[in-house]
Amino acid sequence: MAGVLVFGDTVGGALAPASLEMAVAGAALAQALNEPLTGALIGDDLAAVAAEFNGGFATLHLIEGKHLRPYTARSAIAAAKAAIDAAAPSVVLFPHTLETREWVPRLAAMLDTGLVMDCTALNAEGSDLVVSKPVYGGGVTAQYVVRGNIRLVTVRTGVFEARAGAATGAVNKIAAVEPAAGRVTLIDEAKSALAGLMAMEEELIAVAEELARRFSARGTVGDQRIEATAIHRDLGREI
Amino acid sequence: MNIIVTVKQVADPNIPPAHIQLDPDGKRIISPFGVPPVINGYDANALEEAIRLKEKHGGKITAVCLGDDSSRESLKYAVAMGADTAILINDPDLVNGDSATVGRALAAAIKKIGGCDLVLCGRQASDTDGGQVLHWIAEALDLPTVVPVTKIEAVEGQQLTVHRLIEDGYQRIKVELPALLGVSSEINEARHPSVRGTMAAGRAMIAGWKAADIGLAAQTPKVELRELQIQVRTTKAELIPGSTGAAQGAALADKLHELGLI
Repeated sequence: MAGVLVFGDTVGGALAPASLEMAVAGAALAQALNEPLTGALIGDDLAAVAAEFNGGFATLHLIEGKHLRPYTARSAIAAAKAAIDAAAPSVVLFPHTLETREWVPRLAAMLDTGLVMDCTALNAEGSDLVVSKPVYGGGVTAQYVVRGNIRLVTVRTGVFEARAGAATGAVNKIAAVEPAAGRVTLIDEAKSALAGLMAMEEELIAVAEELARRFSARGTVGDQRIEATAIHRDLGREI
Repeated sequence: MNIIVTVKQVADPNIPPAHIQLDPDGKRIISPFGVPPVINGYDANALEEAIRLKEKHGGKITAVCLGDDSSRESLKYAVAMGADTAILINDPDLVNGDSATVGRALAAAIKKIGGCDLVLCGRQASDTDGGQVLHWIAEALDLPTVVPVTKIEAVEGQQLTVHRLIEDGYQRIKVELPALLGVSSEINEARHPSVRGTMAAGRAMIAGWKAADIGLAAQTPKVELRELQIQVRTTKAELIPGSTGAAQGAALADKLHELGLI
């Protein structure tokens, strides 16, 4: 096992900005560990996204399958395992999102290896991987040493600069195998740009609506968000 | 429905950052005098949901905690809220373990208790913000998981329909029992214990188990805490005026614009 494998992320079929942040973090770590850097993307029809994911990767692994969207933990884990098998890394970085928060810990347990989530700093001390993350609501920073043959880390977004690196050396397309039907079934999804408002009280929703209107007037946020706020006003009542 | 709720005792998250103190090793938070540790907030939500399920569908709730002896207080709180029984895993070899160690110990305890239909956990602990223990439990017990759950919509036989929070909305998911759910705070508002419940909790016998009682072999840590460092921060609060939500929203927008943030 050697190398740093960086997972990118897609949002609405486009490369998520966090992907290039992960690439920057991974490149620095790979250099410090003196190991190669590889990348991976999980999704459907990734050619266009892959062209934007220039992180200076020796190889970019594309794990593609129509069943990978919408997201399910089971499919994401199976796809990630395929990329890890192909890259054989010693460290794997993931952007810290609501999705990775669900499936990466289960992947760690399946691989029986060390994971630290929501990291804001990554360092190599010899062959040791030393990471830091905020704890106790951000009042304290914890420093951990991650153990295991494949050390997993999710990285907080917005910490590292999103910067394109050198072009990818090679692209390795892997057809994702759809896992057998499990005990968790996705029924449907309800989309909204302001999902967090679901739990808000009426007064806070009014504050957010006014904010959304004013932001829109200044061209910062589009009309879609105002509409989404209204949708969630109804959802909030239901809940 | 037999439900097991995992509980962790944590330093009160309302401790102001300026009052946070570390132990001499720099590896643990010391609660300031007069601010006792509390049950993890997400775990209280999980327990509240278990109580609501029991009220509708019957069954039994067991609260399980891994911690030092002081964690009995959080288990008594769980009993006061409505848990039927409580078990403390109190073993020095486990108490400061990493997520894998804690998760496997809790899984071993759940296995020993037996007959569990549903394991409810908080999505993460408010002290370490780790969010891993529940997945180690699920993997050890081969349980399907859904995290973070914001609503249990329906219980139909051996199936639950739940809402899972995603970045841009939520998913409706059907999960077969037995299962493990990682509960988020949006799901409910945890009740405060009644006087009657508090009195019952005072008389409750809380079983204490060691690693040997649950058949747990020595664990090799996968993550090692090297140190904690208190962050020195300066913060400034300003109340946004306004008699209505809309007026406050407008004033906040003006303020953000004035600061050049939008």
